Amino acid sequence: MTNLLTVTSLTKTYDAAQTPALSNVTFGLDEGKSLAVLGPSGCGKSTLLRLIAGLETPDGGEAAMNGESLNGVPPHRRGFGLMHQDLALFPHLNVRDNIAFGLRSQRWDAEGIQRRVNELLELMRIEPLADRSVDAISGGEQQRVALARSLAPRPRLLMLDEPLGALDRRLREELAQEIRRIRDHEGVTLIYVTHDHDEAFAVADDILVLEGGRAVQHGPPEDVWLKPATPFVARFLGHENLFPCEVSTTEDGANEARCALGTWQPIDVPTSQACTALIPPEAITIVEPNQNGAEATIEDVTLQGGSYDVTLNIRGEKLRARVLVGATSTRPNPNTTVSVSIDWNQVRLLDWVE
Amino acid sequence: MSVWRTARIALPLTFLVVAFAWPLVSVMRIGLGWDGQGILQPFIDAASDPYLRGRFFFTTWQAALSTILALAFGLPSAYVFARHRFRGRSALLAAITIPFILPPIVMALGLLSLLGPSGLVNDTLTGIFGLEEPPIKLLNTFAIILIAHVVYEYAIVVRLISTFWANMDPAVQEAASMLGASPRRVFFQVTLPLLLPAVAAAAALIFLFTFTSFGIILILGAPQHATLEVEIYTLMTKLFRPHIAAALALTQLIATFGMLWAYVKLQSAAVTRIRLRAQGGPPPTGHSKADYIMRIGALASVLLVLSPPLALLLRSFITPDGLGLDGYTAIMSNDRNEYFYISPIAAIRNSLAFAAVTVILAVPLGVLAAYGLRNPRAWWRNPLDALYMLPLGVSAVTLGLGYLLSLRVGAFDVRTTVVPIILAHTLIAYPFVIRVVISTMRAIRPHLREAATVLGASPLATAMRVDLPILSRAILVGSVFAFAVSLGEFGATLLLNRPEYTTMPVAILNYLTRPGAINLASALAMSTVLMVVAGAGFFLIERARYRGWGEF
Repeated sequence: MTNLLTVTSLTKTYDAAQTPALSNVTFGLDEGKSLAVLGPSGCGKSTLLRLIAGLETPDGGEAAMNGESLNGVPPHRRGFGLMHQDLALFPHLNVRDNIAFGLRSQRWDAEGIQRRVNELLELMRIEPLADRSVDAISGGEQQRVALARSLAPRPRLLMLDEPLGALDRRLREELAQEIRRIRDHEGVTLIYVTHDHDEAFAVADDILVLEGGRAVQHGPPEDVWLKPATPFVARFLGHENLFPCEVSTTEDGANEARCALGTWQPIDVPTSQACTALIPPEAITIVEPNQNGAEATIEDVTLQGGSYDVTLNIRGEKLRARVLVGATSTRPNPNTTVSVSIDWNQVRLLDWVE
Repeated sequence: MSVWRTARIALPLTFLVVAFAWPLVSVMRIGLGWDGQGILQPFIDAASDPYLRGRFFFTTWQAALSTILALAFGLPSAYVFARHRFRGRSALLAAITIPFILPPIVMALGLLSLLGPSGLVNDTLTGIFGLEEPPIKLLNTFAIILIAHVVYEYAIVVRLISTFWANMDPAVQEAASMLGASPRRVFFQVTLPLLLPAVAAAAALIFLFTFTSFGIILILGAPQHATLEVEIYTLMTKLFRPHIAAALALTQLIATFGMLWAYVKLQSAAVTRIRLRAQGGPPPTGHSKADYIMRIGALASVLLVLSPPLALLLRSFITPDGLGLDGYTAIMSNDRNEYFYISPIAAIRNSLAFAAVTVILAVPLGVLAAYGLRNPRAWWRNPLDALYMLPLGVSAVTLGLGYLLSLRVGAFDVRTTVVPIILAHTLIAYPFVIRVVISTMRAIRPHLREAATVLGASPLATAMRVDLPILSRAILVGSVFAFAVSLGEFGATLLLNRPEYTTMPVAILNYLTRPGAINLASALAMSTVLMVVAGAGFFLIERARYRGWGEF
């Protein structure tokens, strides 16, 4: 299957900047699939979108649609949709005319425009707002209007730039779900830019992680989560229990991994001997002291989203664990001594050393 | 405290009643025929006079045409200054304001120096081609009036619209082009509709200014180019027909208040309608051929509007025998021992004295009034604000006329003293002070004062260490504005003038109305002095202005 969109060695340096905003980024995207571009602010995500959209000219490389280079094609002839981070609704037009704008550009007939706009109003559940001014509706409603406007002309590719950025948590989750529903309904190919990995995982078939203008990892969400390709990706996804690790072969031919917290027989073995062990918080159990486990001191406890986030100190090494609220009779107390056991089967070995 | 609270509203209001309401009511009284003429009789007389009807139509027509031409000439430059970034951009932007802040009479003399019968262009052409007569005959034509207005109002178009354009979020245009709109459609369907309130506001302001044009018409135009403003002046000083003059003044007033109202409405619509983006993101800089042509065009426009003042400067040093200081020595001495002679030194001294008194009166009054307008929730704030701005809508000659018809209680008559001139200058200057101070005052967010208070500053310390440092620049800018307004004020001063109070603009007109090369040289020299003093004030404003603040 050939890619709908192919991006090859895309590079861009802004006038005044020393380092490129985007450097040598290459990836492909299949028709009907969703790609989340993930990274912190300033990593080049928006530049990537603007280059694909044609709002910026690349210094090198190209984006191609069905194998045809887009270099030199002006944005209004690309047939893409882009939803800006700040929405950029037309303040002089009402909701209906905002949604109809792209259809008028494509010279749809009046009846067709009417039908398509109504269809989108219904899909977005904003029919009552049709004749309102865009200044007179709430932030969440504006978000829906902007999405409807981008979808209306049936773009070959829809790009959303931090679409849920400015909204509160509850609304974000609701709208993320909505975007999935609408994506499936319209069958649109999607590029979704965000700095929030939960949002990215919720929407995307594939994740592209950018760091300092470079693509550092590209793959399905599960792979990115389980095997972050660089220390940066691991920390960006919130993985904290990373320990340098060494793998060796014992005299009887078995593999043995060793890190500061223990020694175990790993299932998967990385290619190099030196690697990093990632211990997920779920693999850690805190038990009453004086049982069979490593002795640890609780340094800090924070309640977060239904579980305690516990920072442990084991022989000078910091370790983060998670304890469900209600799983223990009392709240874990700082400065108390506990025993910690680790389920080594859940520990992943990553192919790099910091 | 309550004295202070009362004063900041009562004092400006009292001033308005004396210096504005009283003369205006006097004009209305005789203009509407309430002094025994029969109701509306002066209006009927004026309207039945075909000559005066012609004046009204001409005034409207030349203002409309000037507005359209100024917009057409200024809009491309506004685009370049808004959307292009190039070296010298901010210096150019400052330079284009120079013609606008110069007194109209200086601009008129500038055009005379450039395009007049013995102006630089004609001198050069006759010199090169050995002609008998100056080839360009623009003096006393309709064309030169239009040129003067366009050059004069160019700064309004560029500054008002380009500021707005630069602050417009480019994402909106990008969104349109992502929705398949061609650049043409983006401009006509998105950019232009969003820009329209700003364009209309600029148009209203230009129409307001050119509708009451006085000095330019008086000096550059022929009798058939008299505007209502010039006609009122003639009726008062030469024909002594105050009733008809008052009727014309009221007609003019209706038009100017209408325009002022439209301007305020449009201006607030322009600001609230679109979400403005803070200036600072680099405006897209194009490198295409069309972009360079646009930039060169803008540069040429700027040079064009700067050429009259430059020509004035140059021409003032040209004598029949080459370069020299004839004009300057003439205005510094009284060789001819004329009886009516007013020492030019005295004119300069008078101008500076009036300007100083205007600053002393207008600045405290303006700051006081601005403090009175600080509370944004008071119901009377907006009406009061509008009331304070009303003097801007009254033409200078109407104001002078009003003072001649009022300012007298029984035997107590101040009309022949300096009082009316000072009142006129102060009245025209203090709305500028209010605008400058209030825009800065609004920029001091309440949080700033709260932060100072929470950090332990007493109310007095907050005022001294937060308000004052921020306001001091606005007060300085307001002072320079008041100074410049007084220096250049022409219409009211001319009507109220007595020989011993002659100011620089009045002296310039005196020189011009007398024949002879030496009088022209004197007028040019005096204009140059006035231009330099006003220009120095402008330089101070630009220096002191906070970046992006204090735009009108």
